Amino acid sequence: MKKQGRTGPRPLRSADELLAFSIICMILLDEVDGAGILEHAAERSDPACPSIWKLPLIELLLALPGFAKVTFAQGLLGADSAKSTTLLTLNLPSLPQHIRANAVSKELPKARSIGLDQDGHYRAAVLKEYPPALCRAMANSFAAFLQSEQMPDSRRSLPTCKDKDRSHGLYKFRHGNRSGLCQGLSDEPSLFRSFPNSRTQLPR
Amino acid sequence: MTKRTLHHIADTLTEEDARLAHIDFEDWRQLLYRLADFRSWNFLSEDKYADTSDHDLDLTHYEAWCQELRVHDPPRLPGARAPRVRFQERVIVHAYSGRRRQGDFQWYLDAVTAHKGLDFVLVVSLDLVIDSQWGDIGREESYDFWTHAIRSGYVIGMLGGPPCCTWSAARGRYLISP
Repeated sequence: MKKQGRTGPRPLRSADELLAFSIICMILLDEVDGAGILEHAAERSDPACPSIWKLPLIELLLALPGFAKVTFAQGLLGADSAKSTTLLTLNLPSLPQHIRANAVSKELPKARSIGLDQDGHYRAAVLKEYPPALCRAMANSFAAFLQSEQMPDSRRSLPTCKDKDRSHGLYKFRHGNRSGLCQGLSDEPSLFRSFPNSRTQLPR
Repeated sequence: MTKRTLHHIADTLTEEDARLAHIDFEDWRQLLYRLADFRSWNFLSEDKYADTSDHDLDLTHYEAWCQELRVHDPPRLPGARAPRVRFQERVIVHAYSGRRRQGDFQWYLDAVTAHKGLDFVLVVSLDLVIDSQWGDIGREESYDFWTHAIRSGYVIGMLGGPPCCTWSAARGRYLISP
């Protein structure tokens, strides 16, 4: 790659690592017949611009059953600017309909999120958060996936705080720095129910 | 076990068996004893794995591999999967979620699953700003924990939006044609 000569926020050194983790999770979810969404900026019209959608690995995944690509503008779902976005989806065939159903605007916003605002903050920073309508569309799509599945087995529960399985990282999670999290929950609290954010009070 | 099986066959072999098979009786017994000797099986003693070369670590090697696989038919038949038996609790993870807020993915998924009567659906918003330990995918322990959770069937869904071009080192750069 050669540099184009623009300026902007300091790049995250870990961006490649986070992208790799997302792709690996999508592959692992495919192995267990799960569902997933990998969201990223859409491919730009200039063929010389780099994009994850040009990665041979992504193209290979799209050739596998269950994977699909959905491209849309977040501006139609309430974002401040058009923000062309592409989703790599796994086993979520209803997502395009939910995105269409949750659109809040018929026209793309004219504003562009480039440069700094009056307070010296990067305008693109607000675009990091998905607009609520998009969150709702994705949530509905996951709910449809959950509904389409066979009823879960009520006799099979996730590992609990009482489990003594030391064979993997779950033990450290339960008994490491967060050992107190399991206290005060139900009789057989699941590991993930004890994750802190699930009990976080939302800001108004 | 294989060795004992072969010795048993050799010991119980009869002249009549050899006549019916049109094989010399003694040759057949010697063959069975040779097969029972591990030294007859080269792959058990020879190391077939070559050392990792620079070529194996080259990204273009894997990109070429992916491109080659893509042009062939998918290795699995579509639509022929057996239904999975899930755990009672089904976990969906929102990776790189940012701070919790009303109207975020977890807020809606909690609401819609409650509305539809989908019990035991746990949504986990995962981010450094929420949990510096388990939200930090750069930590090997956290990485292993979440990938293990998917492999084990604890986590059955994930939404993830890794940093896009604004925050990426690829921002403002062009691909150089090969």
